Amino acid sequence: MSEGLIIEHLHVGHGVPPAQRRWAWKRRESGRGPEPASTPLLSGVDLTVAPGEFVALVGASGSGKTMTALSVLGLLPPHVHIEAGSIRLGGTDLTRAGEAELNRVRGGRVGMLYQQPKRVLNPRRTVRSHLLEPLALHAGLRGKAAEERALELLSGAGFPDPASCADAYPHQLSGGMAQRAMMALALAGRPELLLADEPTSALDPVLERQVLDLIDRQRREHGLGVLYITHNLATVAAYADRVAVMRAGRIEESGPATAVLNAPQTDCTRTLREAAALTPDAKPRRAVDHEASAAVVLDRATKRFPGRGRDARPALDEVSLEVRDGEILGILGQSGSGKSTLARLVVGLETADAGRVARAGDGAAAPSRTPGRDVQLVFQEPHDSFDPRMRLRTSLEAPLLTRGGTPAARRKRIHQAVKEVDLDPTILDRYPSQCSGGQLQRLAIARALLLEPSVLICDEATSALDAVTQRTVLDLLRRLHESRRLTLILISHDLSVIRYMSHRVAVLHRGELVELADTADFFARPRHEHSRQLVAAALPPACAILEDQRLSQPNVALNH
Amino acid sequence: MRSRTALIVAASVLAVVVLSVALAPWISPYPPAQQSLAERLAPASPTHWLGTDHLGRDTLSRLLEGGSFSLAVACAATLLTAALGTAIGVVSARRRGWIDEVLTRTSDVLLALPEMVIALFVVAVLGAGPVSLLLALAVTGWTPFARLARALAYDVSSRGFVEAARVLGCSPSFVVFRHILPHLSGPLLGQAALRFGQFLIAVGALSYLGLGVQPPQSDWGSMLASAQPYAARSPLGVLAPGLVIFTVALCVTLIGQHLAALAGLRTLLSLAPSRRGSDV
Amino acid sequence: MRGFLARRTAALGVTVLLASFVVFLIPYVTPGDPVRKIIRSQVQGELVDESAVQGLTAELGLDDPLPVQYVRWLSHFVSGDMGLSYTSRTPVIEHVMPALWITLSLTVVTLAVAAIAATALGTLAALREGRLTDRVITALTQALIAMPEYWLAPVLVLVFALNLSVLPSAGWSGPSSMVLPVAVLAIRPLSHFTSAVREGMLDALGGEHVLAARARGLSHSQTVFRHVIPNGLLPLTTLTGVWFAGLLGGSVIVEVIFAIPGMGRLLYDAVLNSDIPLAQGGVVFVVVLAVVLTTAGDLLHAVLNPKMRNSHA
Repeated sequence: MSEGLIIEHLHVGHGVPPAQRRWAWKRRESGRGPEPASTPLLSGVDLTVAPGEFVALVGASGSGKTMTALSVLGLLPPHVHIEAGSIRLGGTDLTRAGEAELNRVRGGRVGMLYQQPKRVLNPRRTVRSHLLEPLALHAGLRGKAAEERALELLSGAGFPDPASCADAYPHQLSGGMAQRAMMALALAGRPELLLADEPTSALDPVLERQVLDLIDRQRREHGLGVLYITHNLATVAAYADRVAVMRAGRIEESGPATAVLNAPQTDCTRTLREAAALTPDAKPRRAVDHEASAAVVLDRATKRFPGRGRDARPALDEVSLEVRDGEILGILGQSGSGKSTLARLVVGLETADAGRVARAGDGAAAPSRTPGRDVQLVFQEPHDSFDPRMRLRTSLEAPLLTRGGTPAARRKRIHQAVKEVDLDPTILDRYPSQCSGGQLQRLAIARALLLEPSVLICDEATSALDAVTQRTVLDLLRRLHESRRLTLILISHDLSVIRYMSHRVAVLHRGELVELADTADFFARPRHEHSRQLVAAALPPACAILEDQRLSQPNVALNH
Repeated sequence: MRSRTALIVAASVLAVVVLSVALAPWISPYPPAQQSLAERLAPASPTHWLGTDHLGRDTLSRLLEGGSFSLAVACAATLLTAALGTAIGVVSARRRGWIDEVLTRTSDVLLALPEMVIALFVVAVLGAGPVSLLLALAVTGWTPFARLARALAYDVSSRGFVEAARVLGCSPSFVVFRHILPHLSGPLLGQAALRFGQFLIAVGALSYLGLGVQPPQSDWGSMLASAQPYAARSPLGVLAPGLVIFTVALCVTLIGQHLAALAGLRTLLSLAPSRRGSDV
Repeated sequence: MRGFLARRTAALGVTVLLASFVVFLIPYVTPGDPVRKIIRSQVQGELVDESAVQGLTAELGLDDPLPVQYVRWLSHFVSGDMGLSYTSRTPVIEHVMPALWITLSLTVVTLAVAAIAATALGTLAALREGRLTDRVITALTQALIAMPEYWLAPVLVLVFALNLSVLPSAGWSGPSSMVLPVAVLAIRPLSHFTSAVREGMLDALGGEHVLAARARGLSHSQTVFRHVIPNGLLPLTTLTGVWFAGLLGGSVIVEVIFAIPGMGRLLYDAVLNSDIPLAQGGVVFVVVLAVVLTTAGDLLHAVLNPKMRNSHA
């Protein structure tokens, strides 16, 4: 009876200048200027999602993926309209449906997941109060029946203790919990279609896998059609039946997932694919002298932050670690595992409460509060690492000011450093807002190198970049590692980055160092329970998946 | 109202008022103290544009003369409290720890005290006059600036570029003067404009109550007070000074809002005396 | 939450003590002989000869060190003995209590009027953001904040009392005499509340949870009533506390203009007549009340905000 979602020739555009569109969903899309008024947002989108089908919608940010999902719900931003085409769901034409009809569809026949689940929940209401709304509206349940159904939904979403989750406010949930609560909420109206707007982009691999498996189970058991928006091709390869690639408001290419990924027909797909291919390549990295002296030594370093919740678990708990001179050390861990605290401790932004942090450049004197110049740090957010009010030249010159030298000499050094990261020195006359994330991250590296450090720490330095740029920045780091004999400490939650780059891997879990091993060993035989979870949860890189390797039963036992 | 036209109108009106007050000795039609009992409480006419008061003094001339006191005290109070508050706020945010705690609690406490009662108290202790007026306004007046500066400096300090500056070994003065203060300037300017309007009204209020300017001298507030008994016969004497205070306060506030909006702050009104929602 | 409560209460105590100490110092720092001033506030009848003064100085403990005098003054004060007013020669407490009630009732009515009107105006402006309704309301709030009370009051009196003769021009006699003072007192809190409500509503409206609520099938009005208005009104709790404190003193002007025998008027008269005991009593009462009310506003905000209610910080 049901034919699923059929979108035909959908055109969406707006007639009013974008400046006036001050509504939530535009703000989220991007801070940069949206398309000019005349450009259509969607032009001629054709897409179908059959019941029980997992369709992935991929594309760069701003390509119209979210807009497509919002069109289905009839929740386009003010002044944005469907200009032509039709959206049918199980025989109902949603473009012609009235508001009352649409309200039955929203949350009833169509559920939705979002990228930032915690922002999507009302901060002043409990999970229970959220769940009771759609249950009353769409399932007609009230009182005790609704209460029971809410708990049932929560336990179905993988909460071992649904009652305590129901009483929680959004800020008390972790990212993964919030997304699972959202899942329960999306399923409350027993939908036939699930729109998932990058629901796992903000989650670490273990949680990502949990959420994907939950969605997949609903698909298999209840015939839920899934439209999954993502930019992660690994997800597509592992879960999607079909994939549609979007660019600038059009579907560039669509078809069975394996076919599209293995034999891309358009440049757009090829670029996406190549960028995702962070395979551990054959290119040998400079071998590390196992007898090399230590560049950084942590000896039972402990750091506590006061007033963080009732459990006084330290952010970093007696971590002992030796970073060898000239190696690339990868540090893996989920959010909150203490990765960043470790970086801040090593670079001197924080001091250890107990234990010792020693850097090769330090004298014998007690470690002072001022950060050591010999260790430099590159931050995650390139746009935040530079003062938006300063020209880049001034920002790069600042660290040299305290070190004397003539202006001309400083200028020469800066130009050299900028060239070393493959940028043209004319970029120095711009403001940060005029540069891309990739350019700024290169400049951040150049700025760090101005002080001739021997150790460079990259704290998720490529996580905010898109896949293509990430690849080029990683290659730059590898080159600098070679040419400057730089010791690199790479902090990431992305296993493929760590695998691509590092000699050794250290795993942090709840502030403790649980494993330290050579990279190849680590990925072949993770020893610690948590490492095994991380490695198991990591989806194989998209291009490595061939037809026969497709995960038929992607069901790894993942429980916390 | 946040359009360019509103800004231009506000700026021009303000410029006209300030200029004519500054040039009062030269452009004022009559000596402000010149009494003429024959022309008491005269209505507006070609000879006395805004009429005369109960002693037959020309209202326009007195307005021009009285403006200098109101504007000067309000201006001095704004500068004093802005400088003091910004310094305190930035120190709190940078030093943190117990210094921050003490300064923040102090401003919390001062904020809870009724401004007018404090002013009465200061005047009671020091006697009336411009200096005690200034002090009365400054005792509590620095807190909004300190709050704003502290909150913004706190935010800016946690931004990546300030942390980067620390890692790169930039000097603390570089961080404060090149990174932090430029980011504070817009909102603080907006706040200063808003506060100037409030100070102007407060100066008028204290003078109205006889606690500000002292008799031979006059300002807009004291003019209003002296004209009030004759309001029914000569409403212009009450209307004119109030209208000037209102206009100047409004213009400055509008300009301030505009500056604040330029600095990316939505409305200062909601930020000004609001309290810290949570203890950071 | 418990820590927050404890810190707030501690701050409250310290403030009250500090304020009382400053107030205690008034006779010592104002011009004139403190001893005579204090004796005047303690003893009925006029003093003439020097020996009487000396006797009373010893008897009243005025040669004791300042801290001792302070503790004695405070304990008297707490037990309700605030001395005698210079002007009327009657106990200060008899002046303060009735005045306090008048000012309190004036303040409560004013804030209620302002909060209700601001909720309506602010919500309306936020829902019509950028349109004419919003622009008019925003312009009005900006204009109101620049309005001197001592100007609005005579103008209103001129219109409603003198020209139209529908309301009394001054005095404190029944509800009709409250209309004009409340109208004048309400303008600034109204303006402040309105912009705060508007901002709060816009924040709530702009929250992604509002779009998500629509995506779950709630109609526009259901979303506004369930998810926007409750969230948008939260800032009002704190602001009301702050303004409560502000109005206790801000009513000086209005009480003087409308001849209302409240706290503002009492303090003003006390300062004008150098009636030190009366000023001391009045200031302490106003300050204590202001600090208590501000703290109450903060606590209410904390209780209504789940983020703070559950935090252990």
